Amino acid sequence: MVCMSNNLHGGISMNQSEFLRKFEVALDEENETITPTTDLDDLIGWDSIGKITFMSFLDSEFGINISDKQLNDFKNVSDIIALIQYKFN
Amino acid sequence: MKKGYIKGIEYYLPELIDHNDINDRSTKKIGISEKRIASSNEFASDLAFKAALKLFEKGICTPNEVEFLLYCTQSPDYYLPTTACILQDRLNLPKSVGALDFNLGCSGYVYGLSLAKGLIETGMVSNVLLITSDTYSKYINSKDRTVRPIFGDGASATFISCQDSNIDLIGPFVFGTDGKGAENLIVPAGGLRQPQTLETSKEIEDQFGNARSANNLYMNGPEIFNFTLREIPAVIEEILYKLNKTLDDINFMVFHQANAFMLEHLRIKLNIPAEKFSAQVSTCGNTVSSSIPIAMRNELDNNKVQIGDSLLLVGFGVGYSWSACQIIYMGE
Repeated sequence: MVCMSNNLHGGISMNQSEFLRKFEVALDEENETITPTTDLDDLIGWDSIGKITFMSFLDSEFGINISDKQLNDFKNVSDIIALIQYKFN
Repeated sequence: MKKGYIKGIEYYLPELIDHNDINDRSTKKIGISEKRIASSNEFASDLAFKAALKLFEKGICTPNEVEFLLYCTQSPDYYLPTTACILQDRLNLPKSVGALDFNLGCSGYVYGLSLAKGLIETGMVSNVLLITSDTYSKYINSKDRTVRPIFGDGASATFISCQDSNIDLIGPFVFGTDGKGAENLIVPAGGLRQPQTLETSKEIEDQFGNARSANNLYMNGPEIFNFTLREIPAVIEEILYKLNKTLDDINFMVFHQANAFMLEHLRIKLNIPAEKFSAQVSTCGNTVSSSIPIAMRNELDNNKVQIGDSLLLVGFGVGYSWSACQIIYMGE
């Protein structure tokens, strides 16, 4: 599990907590309901439009383009965080 | 030197309105409140016919002036004959016209302009009628919320004529194709490779409650979005390079009107000012190959485009297929 204090990199500096809040907004989920261990398949917002909104967020905040196949390989939110950190390390 | 140019554009939308649920989160994101849907006995060629009639009624051209008919559709009346031949007769075009269908979706209008330019500037004809028309609603399962709120039916008609000019009035062009994306926007059954059968009409429901059969339109929205992010910025860069221009030199941009969310993401990503960027999806949805000419007509009516303006048109989607071109608006 990724430490909460870790900074995620990108166009702007963003820590994990900020990332989770923005992820909730992208998916129209309630505030502070998503944690790194949240299973993506449990999120109602993780549908076609939710994934598109998230892809837009990844592109504009981190310059990362990701395919639907890659998205479907993710099991939980920490997998996404790991990808972002991998891209910048 | 003889150069092709757009002399007039008209469009026709069917009367039946399909409203999207304004409380649905998808509706808010895609920015489409309603779209027009062809009735059960109304087909793409009917919409095409009415769009072309508007060009004649407005005095842009007469049927006798048309020397070539290009018809872009993915909703043909029949496997054969060619729908353009049926339209030649219905529109009372001269028997001397050339007429053909071409099968493209969201990139089709820009491809059609390239074909018209080629026909005119090689001296084969002087006047081309380019019609785009589709009725995706007939492919869409009413229980599939991944596509139903997005696509609308509609047709456009553009008259391309010629005049002496030292500069291109249509073009240059950038083209692109990637058939690896075919499976991401497709009606799987109904062609010869997979004919419609009882088996292909069986509906399958996904985990979000969207139902569709192999006879229906399927769209992998995230993959289409990913394709757009991957390809379109480079297309813009390439067309500007060919033009030896920057975005500041372009007066107005009309992208394929996929949905408001995608358009706005592209606009911000490419640093295009909102006042120079067409967004015309809210009341007609994504009308596939007609989306660019419909948006252009609306922007002309809104006085967003002036004579002599440089416009960038960018089409992208099903195939995958994409294309971009510059046009110089010459008035009507």
